[in-house]
Amino acid sequence: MTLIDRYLHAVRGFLPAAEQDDIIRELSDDIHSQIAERELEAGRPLRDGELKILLQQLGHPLVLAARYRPNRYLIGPTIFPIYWQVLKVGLIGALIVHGALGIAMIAGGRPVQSIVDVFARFPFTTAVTVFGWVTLVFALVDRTQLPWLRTWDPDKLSVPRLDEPQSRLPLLGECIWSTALLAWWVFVPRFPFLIFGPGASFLALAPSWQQLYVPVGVLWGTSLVILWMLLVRPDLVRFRAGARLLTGAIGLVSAALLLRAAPLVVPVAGTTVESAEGVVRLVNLAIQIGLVAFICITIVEVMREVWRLQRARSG
Amino acid sequence: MRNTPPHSEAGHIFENLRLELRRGGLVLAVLGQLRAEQYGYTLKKALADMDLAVDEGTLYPLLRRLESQGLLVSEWREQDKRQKRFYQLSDEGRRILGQLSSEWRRLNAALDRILEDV
Repeated sequence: MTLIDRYLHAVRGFLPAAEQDDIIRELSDDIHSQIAERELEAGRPLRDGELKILLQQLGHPLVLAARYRPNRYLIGPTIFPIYWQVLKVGLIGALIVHGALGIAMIAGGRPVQSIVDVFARFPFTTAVTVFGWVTLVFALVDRTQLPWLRTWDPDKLSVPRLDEPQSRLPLLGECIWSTALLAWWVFVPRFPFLIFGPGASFLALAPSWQQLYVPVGVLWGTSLVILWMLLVRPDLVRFRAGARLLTGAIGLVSAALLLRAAPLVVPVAGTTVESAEGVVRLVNLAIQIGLVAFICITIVEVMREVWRLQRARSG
Repeated sequence: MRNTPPHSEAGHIFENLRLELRRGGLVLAVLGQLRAEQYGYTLKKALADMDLAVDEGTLYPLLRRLESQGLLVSEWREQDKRQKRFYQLSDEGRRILGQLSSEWRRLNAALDRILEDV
């Protein structure tokens, strides 16, 4: 097999199957035409080194074959900035959850080495999972090309308010992130490691939590529908403050229900893990602190929307 | 005019812009050249003789794309004891070439006016 045959064989491997024969025939003819011309000019057969240079000029087989393929990407430039934002938030969020669990485990008397192991595994377990799911969701979104991106109406563009951020990216990011969180909520009962991570072996959700699971999920879903409505219907901007108030109220009700139902986490029945009780106490405390913080932030947000509404009405 | 060193950042920027500038012109050149039937290698040589050198990795995929868009037709025939693929403008290609040529002349005239003092 000559060097040219080997080169063409390598190129063939990277070409679309249906066009391989055709493309290789044409490339082969081109290479032989170039050789014939150079040999005619030199008055002698081409040397091995010269042939090698000629093939190098054609490019690496992978590079040459790639020119015959259409440009491909998993997530296009249109939604890539939102994907990147959501991915960063997701990874940082997962890291914070691991950190909180790690602190709880140390406080509960677990050996430090086990926490180090959890963090050492983070890039290969949770981080990969978050990366995979976020990428998959955005790849699907990119394939479907959200219909409102194609059929938008300039008349429906919102009138910017002075106190409103100009970019809609944060709202889109919020919608996608909230959708991912709702998906997480749906899968938590079946896969406890989604909420407890490595602690799933000795931590379980309390019965009181299970009673609230559906109502809170429905409230959350309602809030999500409102968020998406705000995004896809910019003409509803006049209802934005009201919708924000509604989603804020839904968030407050959900958090208050969960807070009332505390404790939400119990040790797995018959667990042999030492100090499981201590970890459970700390996790419940962390959840309560988190819920109280969420309620405080939401109250501030709701008050801000009320203030905006009043200001808009007064002129 | 001061030349830009090819490996400097400005050199890369110039090279990218130059390729961008050439891309549309190359399509027009290929269509123009294929008013008469040619195969890939002679087309490549004809373009190079007119100071529009193009490598195989650019030319052949472009020919396939133009053919899939219906602007070219091709057939395999034997010449000089080797099978060669001959390309030629289709009727649709001829129509598009006419439109693109007018557009090119308009663009060229506008750029000439804009760049008169450069």
